[in-house]
Formats: sequence, C-alpha cells, structure tokens
Amino acid sequence: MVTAQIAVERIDAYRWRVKRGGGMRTEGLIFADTELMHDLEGDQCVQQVVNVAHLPGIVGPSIAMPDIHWGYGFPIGGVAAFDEKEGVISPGGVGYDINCGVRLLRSPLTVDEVRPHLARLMDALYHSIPSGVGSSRSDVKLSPRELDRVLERGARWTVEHGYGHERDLECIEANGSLPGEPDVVSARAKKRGATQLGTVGSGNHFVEVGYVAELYDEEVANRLGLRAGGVTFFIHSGSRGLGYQVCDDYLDLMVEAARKYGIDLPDKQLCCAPLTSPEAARYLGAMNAAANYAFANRQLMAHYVRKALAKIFGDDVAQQADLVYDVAHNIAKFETHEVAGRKRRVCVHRKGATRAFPPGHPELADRFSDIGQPVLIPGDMGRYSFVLVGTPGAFSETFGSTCHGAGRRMSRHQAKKVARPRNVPRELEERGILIRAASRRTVDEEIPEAYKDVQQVVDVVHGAGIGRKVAKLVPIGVVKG
Amino acid sequence: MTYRFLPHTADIRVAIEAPGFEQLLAEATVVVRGLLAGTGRVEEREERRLTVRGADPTEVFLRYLQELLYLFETEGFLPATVDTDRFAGTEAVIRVSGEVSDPARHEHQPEVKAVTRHGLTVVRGDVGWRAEVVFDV
Repeated sequence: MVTAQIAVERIDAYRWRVKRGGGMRTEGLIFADTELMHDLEGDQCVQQVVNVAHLPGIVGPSIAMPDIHWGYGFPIGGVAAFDEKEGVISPGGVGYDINCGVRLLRSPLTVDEVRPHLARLMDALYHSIPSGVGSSRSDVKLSPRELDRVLERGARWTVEHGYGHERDLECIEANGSLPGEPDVVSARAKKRGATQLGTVGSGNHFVEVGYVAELYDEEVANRLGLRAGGVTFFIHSGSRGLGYQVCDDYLDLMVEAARKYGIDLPDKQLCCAPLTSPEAARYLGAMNAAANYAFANRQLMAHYVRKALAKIFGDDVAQQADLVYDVAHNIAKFETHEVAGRKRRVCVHRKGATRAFPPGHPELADRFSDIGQPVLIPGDMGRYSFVLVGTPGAFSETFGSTCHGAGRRMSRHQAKKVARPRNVPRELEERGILIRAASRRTVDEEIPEAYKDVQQVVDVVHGAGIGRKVAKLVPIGVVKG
Repeated sequence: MTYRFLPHTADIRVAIEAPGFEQLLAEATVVVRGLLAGTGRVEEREERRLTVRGADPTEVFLRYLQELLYLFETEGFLPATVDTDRFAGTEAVIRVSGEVSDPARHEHQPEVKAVTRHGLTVVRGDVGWRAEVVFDV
C-alpha cells in the first residue's frame, strides 16, 4: 500500500514496514492492524515516521504505535532511540507537554457502593481539582525557591510536604524524580508554572472515576490490587504551562543548534542537537525539571482525589486509595537496550508512547519485578481504558515501549460539528457516566467517536507481544477541562 | 484579509492571507482571539506593547503568536485589535488592545498549548503575505 507516496509493506498481522529511501537513515516500523492502518490515509503521520528516520544517530527503526496520529515533528505515538555518542535529542520528540502521563489509583470501594454517591463525588473532585484552560490553585502557592525544589525533586517534594505516602514513589516511573535542573528553566516557564501545580488543564486531560469491568490476568490484576467491580481513579495531565514554555524555549535553542552542527531537518519542529553537546545537556536538565513538575502535579491531584474520597466516604476509605502506577508518555530518557546482540546506551524518545519494561528489569520496584511494569492506557470518556504490563517483546523490539491511548481519528473541527446538535454530557449520563467540565467546547471536541477504539489499539500491542492485557476499566464519571 | 482552517487530526492548522505583514499579524490575532475566547466580544480596554524579534518574518510571526498565548496564560489577557507601529523584517513593534478574560462573557475554550514550527510558513507572494501555522491543543 502507498500512504501519501510512501511505500509501506505489511510484515504480519500487526506490523508494517516503511521502506528506507531518500535521506532516511533507517526504516520505519508501524504497529497496526489493517483497519487502523487504513485510518492513517490522508493523515501526515506516516510522513512523520519517515522524517524521524532522517535524524542522525537513530538506532533501530523509527517506530509508531497503533494509536499513531498526526502530531508536530514526531508523530503522536512515535518512539525513536538515539545513540548516546552519535545521536541527537529533539524537544519535538518529547512534545510541549513534557511528561504528560497518567496515573491510576484503586479504592476499596465497589461500583455499587459508589453509584448512589457518584454525583457528590464528582462535584467534590470537580471543585478540589481545578480544570480548564489556565486553571490555577490558590491553596498551593509556591515561592520561587519552593518551585525550584519541585523542579529538582518531583513527586518526592510532594510527598515530603504531606501530599501522599512514601509508598507512592515506588509506583511511579523513575520513582517520580529525574535529575532536573531549575537553573536552566527560564523565568517565563517558572511564571507559567507558579500557580498551576495540582491542576488538570484542558483538552484531552481528565480525572476519571471508573471500575474494573473485566480481568484478563486475574493473578497480575490482584497483585496490582485490581478486583472485579473495584472503583479506580485515572488522572491524565502533565507539566502544564511550565512544560510548554520549556519546550518553546529549547526549540529556539535547537533551531540554532541544528544549524550550528549542520543537521539537515525535514521538518523544523524536529530541530535537535547532538547528545554530546552543551545544548543537549541544558535541554535534558530543563526537560527533567518539567518532568518533575508533572510528577508532582499528578501526585498533588492524587492527594485531592483522596481528600474527595475522605469527604464522601470517610478517612478509612481515603487511606486505602493506593497508587497502582504512574507513567510518562511524553519523555526522552537514557536507557540501556540490546541492539543487534550488544548492549547500547541510547536516548529513547517517547512521544505519545508508554514505557513498558518487562519482569526483572532493574529499574522496577521489587513489587513489580516478577509481573512487569504496569502500563496504563486510557481510552475515550465513553468507553473503556486498560491496564497492561510490560513484556520482554516490548523490550527487545520497541525499546521497552508500547501505546499510550486511543489516538484521535476525527479532527477537533469535525468532532464539534458532530457534537453541536447533541447534548453529549446528557447522552453520557444516560449511559451511567457523569461529566463535570469547565467547557462544553472541550466535551464536544472529546466525544468518544473522535477517538479510535482503544480496545483495537490494545489488541494490537497485545497481539504483537509489546504489552500484555491485565484489566479493562469502564468510566462512570469524568472531570474534563 | 482571510483565514481558513485546514484539516488536521489532533491540532489546529490555519492558513492566513493578507496584503501586508502588518495585516497578517492582525488576521492572526483574530484567529488566536477565537481560539482563546470563542465568539464572545473582546473589548479594547487595555493595551500591551510588544517588541518581537526573530531571524526572519517567519520567526517574528511565530514569536508574536507565542506572546499572545503567554499574555493569556499569565494575565488572562485577550487580544481584540493590533497595531504594528514598526516592522523591519526581523523586528516588529506592536500594540495589542484587549481586555482580561471575563468568564461571564468569554466561554472557556480548550487550551492552546503552543504555536508549533511544524509546517510553519510565512511567505511574501505577488499579491501579499501567506502564513500557515499549526497550534498544539
């Protein structure tokens, strides 16, 4: 098949090869079934897979997950690894919302226990976690010095200040803390981040109440504290305005760096610098600082989820609301992977892709060492989400990565057109899902049919062996921005 | 002057045409105002003075739009009209009139995170200027 004049050939039921040509330094590898692949026609994301393959020092293929869609620079759903000496780092391979990610909490409550109190619970969540564009908190004000500590310490800062438990940190990618350097984060970025810690934001970000509807691996699910009918809380957010500004600041720097180091770019948004350069070191310090802000942001929101639970169901219930896991899906990290039979240290860019480390990986906490890293895959607000675990297949084929969500199939304009004559919150309420939203426009743009069926996406990664299904969660309430 | 939204799966992609660079900025302001405030009227109550610099008109255009997003996020400032006092290829001195967002009159819109460089073009043709830009939302 030919997608926008790019030759793509089928490898098997779940894999497609984008043949190497022109200035590509490697081939592309897309995970998709036939239907998902057809969805990509007319979308520029396959071209973006090709563009990423042009970057210096890329190791292995330019990879796309089955939730791939048209992004800027990298496709959303893109994974690429770069050699630590020959390769580059690109802010466009991470995105504006640095460490956008998801976390999942479980509760001791069943869906039948929550249903009678759901409206009150949703109101409590909506009022305690600010949502919507430019949302800010008046109760968590950070001095410049405290903000720097957040940027250095991430979720650890939050726990140290009473927002959560030490146990939470074991259940966060990188223990919720990367080597962030506040000194290389601009004053503008800090100004944008000063009042936004603990806010969900807008667009596809949300706080979702759901329950475990189906178990695929009961033993692993039970190890994660997930039992049929048990109520869960999904939080999807990132580094807010601080992260957007860090990305903007460093794109400016990387445009210059690409010129300085003579790197040809098929798309200016892919501007980058050699990993050995001072520009890369500065970006890494700033990106990690923004990632820490995002870890702290989700940790703080989890605290307010617990407060809402305490308000409606009592302190005992809130104290038993444990973190299942928290993963980043917009990040670049140095990791060691086996490539062509030898271990290599590479910088893995995941833009709309989730780390999915297998059982036994040394970076995982003991509690996950025999089951693999939990992987959280949110769907749209009307259907379902999934919990998976990482696999050896992901580690050997996709640099320990898998999909991150459903992926859009409908433009925002189209979605609004479809939703305009309808009352989407009421439709969802009739299906047992309560919506609390700062903006009707956001709800309209986020209608379930604007997204691919996440079941289909997850079935591809499960079938391809780059993730393993554990449980399906169904929403009963969603706070949107 | 004109603008139109172009297909994009996840973000907002716009093509803008205007006879001069100053008008191009004015039309881009209309686009950003719509993305931030919807169809609600924005009054000219306050003014912000901006000096934006870039290596070329494309970068000047990009930085102007970035400034509008920054003003909105940090001050809630919505742009109504714009006057370009001076444009010299790599620098523009701009006065933006507008007001601070009023939730009673300005409907919450989905967040615009950034102005991207993906497919960003600002070109001068025979009959004026044309820009194409993708906003990350």
